[in-house]
Amino acid sequence: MHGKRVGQWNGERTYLLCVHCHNPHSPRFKPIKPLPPPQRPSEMKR
Amino acid sequence: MSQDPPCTGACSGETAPDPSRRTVVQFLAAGAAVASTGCSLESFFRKSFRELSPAQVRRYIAELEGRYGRKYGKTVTVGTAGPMEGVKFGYGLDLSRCVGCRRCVYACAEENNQSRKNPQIHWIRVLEMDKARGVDVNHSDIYYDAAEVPRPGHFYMPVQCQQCDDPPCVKTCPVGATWKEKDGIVAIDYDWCIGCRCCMAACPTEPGTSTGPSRTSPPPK
Repeated sequence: MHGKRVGQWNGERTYLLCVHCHNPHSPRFKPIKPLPPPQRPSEMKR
Repeated sequence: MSQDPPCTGACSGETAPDPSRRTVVQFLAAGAAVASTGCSLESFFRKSFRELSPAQVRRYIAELEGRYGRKYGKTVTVGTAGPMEGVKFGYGLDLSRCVGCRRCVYACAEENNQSRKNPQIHWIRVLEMDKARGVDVNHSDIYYDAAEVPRPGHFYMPVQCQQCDDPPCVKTCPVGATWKEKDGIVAIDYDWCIGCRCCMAACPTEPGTSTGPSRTSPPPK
């Protein structure tokens, strides 16, 4: 389990970064397609 | 556990009627008052809000536990623990990890069942910024439509309620619909909000949404 905190926020917790297991330079994180941008106010109809 | 409602002048000095009957009479009287004023039962109860006494809380919790226990066939415990002493919640964000994919924006809308369109309400907006400028909100872009992120030369900052220590929205609200809890959470009561948008104008992070009815929210799953 890496890349996030697990356990209790006010008790015992484990915080492992991605780089605790992975080499951050190879392979690189792949770019991903973002979800659509928000509507502009002019595009919204009441 | 039962608790008699407060005695009114009508019963002073007389034999107290059956509590359940008296409650029914009071309820019918309230209904008649609502009908005569023309307002809905829901709005009547909003205006007649009062805080529950500890005994009433215990009674309602016992009712809920019994109801849920019968529904699920298990022993259910309903907690009433309040904010913890000495705990203050804050807001944290690791800019070095964000790649601007907007997954959090849509996950938040789904989790909180926000309006999807007309109006589209997003409680999180992701700002795209130039690395050359650094953190410069005035030159940020929330409408970026890239084929892939992160785009070279840019970094991203998701913006939502920052749970300010001294929130401007609380200062500017004319009806007290926004307040700061003792444990650090900034709260809004939709029923008190009159929709003036003063909080939106005062907010330094421009949340870009106002409270209001969610018109196009799908039904809960």
